[in-house]
Amino acid sequence: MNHMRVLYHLVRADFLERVRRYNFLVTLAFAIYLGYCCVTGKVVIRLDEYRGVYNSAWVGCLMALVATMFLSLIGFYIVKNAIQRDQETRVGQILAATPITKSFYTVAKMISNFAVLAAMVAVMAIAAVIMQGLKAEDTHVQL
Amino acid sequence: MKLSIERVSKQYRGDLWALRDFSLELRPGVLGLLGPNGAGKTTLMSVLSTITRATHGRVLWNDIDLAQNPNAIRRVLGYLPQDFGVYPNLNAVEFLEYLAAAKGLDAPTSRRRIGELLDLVNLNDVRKRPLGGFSGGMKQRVGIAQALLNDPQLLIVDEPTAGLDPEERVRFRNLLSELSGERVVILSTHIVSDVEATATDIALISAGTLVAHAAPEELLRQVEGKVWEDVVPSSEMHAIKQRYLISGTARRSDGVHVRILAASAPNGAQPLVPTLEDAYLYCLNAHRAGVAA
Repeated sequence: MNHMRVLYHLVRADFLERVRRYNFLVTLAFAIYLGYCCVTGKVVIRLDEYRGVYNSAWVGCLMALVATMFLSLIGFYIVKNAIQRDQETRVGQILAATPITKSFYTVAKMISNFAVLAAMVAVMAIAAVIMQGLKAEDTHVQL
Repeated sequence: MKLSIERVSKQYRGDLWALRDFSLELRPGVLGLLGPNGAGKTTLMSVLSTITRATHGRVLWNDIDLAQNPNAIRRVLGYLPQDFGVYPNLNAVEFLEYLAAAKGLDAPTSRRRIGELLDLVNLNDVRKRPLGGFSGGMKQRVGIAQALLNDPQLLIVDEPTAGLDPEERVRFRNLLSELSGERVVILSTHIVSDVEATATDIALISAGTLVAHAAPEELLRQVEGKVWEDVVPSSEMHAIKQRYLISGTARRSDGVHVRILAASAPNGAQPLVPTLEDAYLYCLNAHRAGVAA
């Protein structure tokens, strides 16, 4: 058995199943909206009466703060119940009759969780670049 | 190729025994596992497919104990559970690729088998549609395809024709007959006509115990000369049901034609050629009467 191939397909199926769900898209839209609020000044971090210039460093810092709060609070609801979902869809009993071990299955679910959250972070990162351009205080993008 | 079930019992919480001292030895062919609802068929399927552990007894695949080495059977197993489920947001190809990888198939074999099986179950046209939009019968056909992905030596199918339309049901029966030559197939159902069409052996199960294990011809012989047809007015139906075991009725212009199972002919009744359904009812009733006594 090619373990990498099995792992890839376990992660891929679980990932696709989750990112195509309606609640994932709603959460993603909310994440982008939060990023938009940060960059457009609806949510501002001030140090006394000073605020940062919206260059790559500052926008990146804001996005990192938003992503940290967002992934730990709301992202949890997206990735929880990974095994319960297999029970509810009744796919678990088919997997239980295959040679996959419990530890392998658990690792696949963990990587899939990372992938789902990473997809959200990736979308927020792209949104950050776009927002910086729209704000246009400093159009030089430093990645 | 041999599957041995040795005195298997399964106890659930409390004092509920789903299986008691169930023993059977299977060789290549189709075994029709027949029994009423709640007889223990699904529990037996779960034990054989290594999803559930037996409380007592053991199951051997080619003399390897499955409690010690469940992978001995998982590598060669095709399993279609009664309540088969899917990931609703994947399409048929993605879902079958996923299960093919889980069963250990390499990429070229997986691609070839998925193409062949989608043709076989008549789902090639909708291969890219999300499974969540499939009807019950279409999902069941995906289930049949996934069970056959690894060309299994042991195929366990639990109520496989539930939800299939008559044409698909006939297709599936023919498929099972074609597959039976070189593998052990266990077909669990309460639909006698499915078994009649495909099974080379029949096991009757009731209340978790094995009632009979025989070839269909042997079961039919047990009820030869015990099946009768009588024509009675509707008003006498209740009395007839009280006195005899009835395996079928049909209302006609001259009265109700009643199919009666009895050791001797009721007054005026004509003998009939027995069917497997008659044999099934007769054996179960005899078993229940024996247990009650």
